[in-house]
Amino acid sequence: MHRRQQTSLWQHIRPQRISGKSLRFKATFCLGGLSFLSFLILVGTGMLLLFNYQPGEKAYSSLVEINSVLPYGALIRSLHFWAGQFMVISIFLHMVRVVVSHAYRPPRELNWVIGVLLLGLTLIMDYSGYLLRGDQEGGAAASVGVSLLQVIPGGKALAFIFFGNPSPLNSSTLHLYIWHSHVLAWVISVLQMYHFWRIRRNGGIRSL
Amino acid sequence: MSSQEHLFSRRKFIILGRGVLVLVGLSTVFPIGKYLAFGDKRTEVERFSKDEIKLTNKWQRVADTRFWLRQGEERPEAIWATCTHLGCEVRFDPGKDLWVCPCHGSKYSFEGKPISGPAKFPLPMAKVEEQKGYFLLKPPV
Repeated sequence: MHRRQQTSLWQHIRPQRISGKSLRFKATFCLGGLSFLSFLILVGTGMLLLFNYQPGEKAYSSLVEINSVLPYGALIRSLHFWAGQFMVISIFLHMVRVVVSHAYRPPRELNWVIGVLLLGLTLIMDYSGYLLRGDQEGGAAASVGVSLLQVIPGGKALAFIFFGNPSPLNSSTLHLYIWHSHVLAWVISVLQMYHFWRIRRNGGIRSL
Repeated sequence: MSSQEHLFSRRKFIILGRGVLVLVGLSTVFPIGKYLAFGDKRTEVERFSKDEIKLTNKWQRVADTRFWLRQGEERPEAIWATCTHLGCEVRFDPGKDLWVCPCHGSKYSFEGKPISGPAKFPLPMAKVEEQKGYFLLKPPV
């Protein structure tokens, strides 16, 4: 590509000059990068799980099948589970680092807000993934979530949108499955791209 | 930092690291292939005890499979309920004593002979083997 034709987006992501200060390990502790790495693992293993997971009544039996029958199924599911747990922890530590280094201050205010949004979405993903197992524990956790949502005004509608038709035990995981795998995963990827682009634009790191 | 002071220059180290990453990536190809290529063999041969299904002279479906069983004149018979036109799963209509294909409307007689529709060949029979208290069903090859 001719240099003059390069779009500004490309230049932000792969710039010609990088600040040495921002590359120091202590500047970031690689925590945002680790969160993104776990997200990549989650997308990869999640796509593999999609081939065998069945939402709805068969959720738990399909999970047992993945775990015990399919070759490497247990490994793929464990990776998905642990990457999810790790992502929540690394995002939390990433936010602590941002607060300590005052990186939330202007001009990075908006990116902080986007980051908080991403934290919320990641927590929702973690929670819905827990419910997608379709076991009794997940069913109980779902009724807790439904009850909590219904406390806030308009919560009944929200609960219906997110959980589908609520029932006390083991309601269908279909709604949650759609939100988890086909909606929120995309929302998170797009927001992340915007997050990274803004980091670059503010002169932040360019890793790998 | 000059490269002479170290065994590896920084660039060499990064290239090495990239190679290791590629190797790790390649090593996932086999497990992922095994995972995705896993075929469910359990529906191909069906084994169940004789108490499980009461055989009559009408066709009865073995749950969740394409096997249909009935008590023939001498021995149990099994049909592999797959349309000989394009392979859809056919169902037995006990009211009309007909096999009907949902895809292109082929109809077969009670014994599986084609009557109307695009299918020209009879429904394939499945092999029934009797073992001690068990039926072993094998789809046609």
